[in-house]
Amino acid sequence: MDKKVIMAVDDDADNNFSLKLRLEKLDPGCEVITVDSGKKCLELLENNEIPDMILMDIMMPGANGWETYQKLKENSTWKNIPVIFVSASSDELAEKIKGLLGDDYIEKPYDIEDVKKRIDEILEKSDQK
Amino acid sequence: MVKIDLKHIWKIADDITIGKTGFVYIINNQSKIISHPNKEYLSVIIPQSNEVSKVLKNFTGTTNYNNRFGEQIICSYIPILGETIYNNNGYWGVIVNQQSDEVFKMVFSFQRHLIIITPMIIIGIIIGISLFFSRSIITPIKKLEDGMGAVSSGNLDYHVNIKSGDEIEYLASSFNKMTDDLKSLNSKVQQRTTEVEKLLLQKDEFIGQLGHDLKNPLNPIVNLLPVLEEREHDPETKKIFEVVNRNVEYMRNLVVKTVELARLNSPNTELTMNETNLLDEVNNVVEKNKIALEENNMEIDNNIDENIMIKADKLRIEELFDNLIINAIKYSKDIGTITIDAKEDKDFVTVSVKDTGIGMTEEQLSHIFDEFYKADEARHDFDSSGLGLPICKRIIERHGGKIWAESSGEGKGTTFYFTIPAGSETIIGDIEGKIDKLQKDTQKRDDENWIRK
Repeated sequence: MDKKVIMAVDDDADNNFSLKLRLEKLDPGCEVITVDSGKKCLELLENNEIPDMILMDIMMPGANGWETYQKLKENSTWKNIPVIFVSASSDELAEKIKGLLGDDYIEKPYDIEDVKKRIDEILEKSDQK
Repeated sequence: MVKIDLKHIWKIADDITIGKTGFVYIINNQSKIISHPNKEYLSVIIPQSNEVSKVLKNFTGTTNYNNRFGEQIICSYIPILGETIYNNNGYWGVIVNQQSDEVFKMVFSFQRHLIIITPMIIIGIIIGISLFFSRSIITPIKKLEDGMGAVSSGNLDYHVNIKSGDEIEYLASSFNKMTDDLKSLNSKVQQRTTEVEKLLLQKDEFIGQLGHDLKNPLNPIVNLLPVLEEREHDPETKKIFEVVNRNVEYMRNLVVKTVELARLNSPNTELTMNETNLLDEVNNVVEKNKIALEENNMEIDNNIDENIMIKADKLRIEELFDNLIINAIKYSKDIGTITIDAKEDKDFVTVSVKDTGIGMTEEQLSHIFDEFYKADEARHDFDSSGLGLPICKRIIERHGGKIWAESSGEGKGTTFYFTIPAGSETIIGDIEGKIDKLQKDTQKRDDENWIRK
């Protein structure tokens, strides 16, 4: 069985590093690709590197999480990739979108086991479709 | 010689009538009547009387007497012609007779008129004075009153225009000055209010930003420390990790709770109210805390009726129960029971969460909802941020409810009560409608957010 591929989009390299380290250790059946911007995320997708799931930070310089999410939903292939928003943000927009956009919303600092649980739940659901 | 036509004189005399009874007759110097309305008396020589003798001697005067019918007569006489015509052969007299009754009748009638007219005149004068005062005093006062009404209802541009030249005009100008002062004061207050509102908003934005900036670096720390700890085998270093971990966890708890409280205080934070089943919510939270409950030998006695619906923000109500249950565990000494109950009463549901823990003093009860309050200040409590209950309070307040705690004293447990709006009984068709609406709302918010970017 192929490894499930999770793409983490976050401008904070330390966050990307710790997520990759913890998640791959916790779930050996998963591979984490990390990118530091929404732009790079879209570039990878254009190169046909389609992940099973995207973990998207909201506040990033350049194309932020919402804008990247919009681009995903405009593309007929990419729109089916499940997206979990991951943010430390607590602004009004994040508050409103919580539970309304994306497949889930995880607040930083997160508990890695909780992240794994949520990823599994969503992938299970999308497999059933 | 002047020839006088006596017929002409008669004619004149006859035509003179005075009232109903009065008449005029003329006598010549021989006391002979030469003119009388009653023709029978013509040429009759009237007997010498007081008035006849006087008039013939060139006197003018008035007298009164009783005639043969017993009526009192007022008689006036005036001499005429005399020497001019008859060369001192004496005077002619014109005599006017009138019954005194008639004269008095006229006087009485006038008197009667006076009695009626006088009060009317007085009333007229009073009305006149009233009108005058009304114009000069009451009207300006009414204007002032209108002005006060306008100002008290918030129209500070209202000015009273009174030019009466008296104290009221002075009062009006003072009133106008007061209104101007109020207006400038009002604009100052509004300016300050706007500044304060702006500052409060900036405070919320600041805490939001600070929260983000603190939570973001906490994430790798929280997640990488356990990895290091796991790889370490030296007992002393392990102990160091334990201490660092505990403090990091405390810091994380504090940051997350501070941001959450700021969020609940911010008017920009909107609660997402939905019809929610109370029992389901409580079961979710109990399930989440299953391990902690088991580890502390805590039993849950959940008596909530499965039909009770509430109108609430699901995530926030879970947070509330989470705080209350964690609190109950924390303050029970490794064993106890948490009894949860709910009572529906018209528009509100009253929920109680009762523990068998250490209880609270009156002093503690009055402060537990204060920010950063810790019941036991001497104890350095890593599990407590001092913000859990203030957050619960804000959550309930944002739902329009109340929260309070009761305790019979130390060692006797604590019961938390809160009220929350009751939801209506949902029927299946209703749920479909709600899902439909939620989807539309989501789509709308979705669109709005793209516009904002």
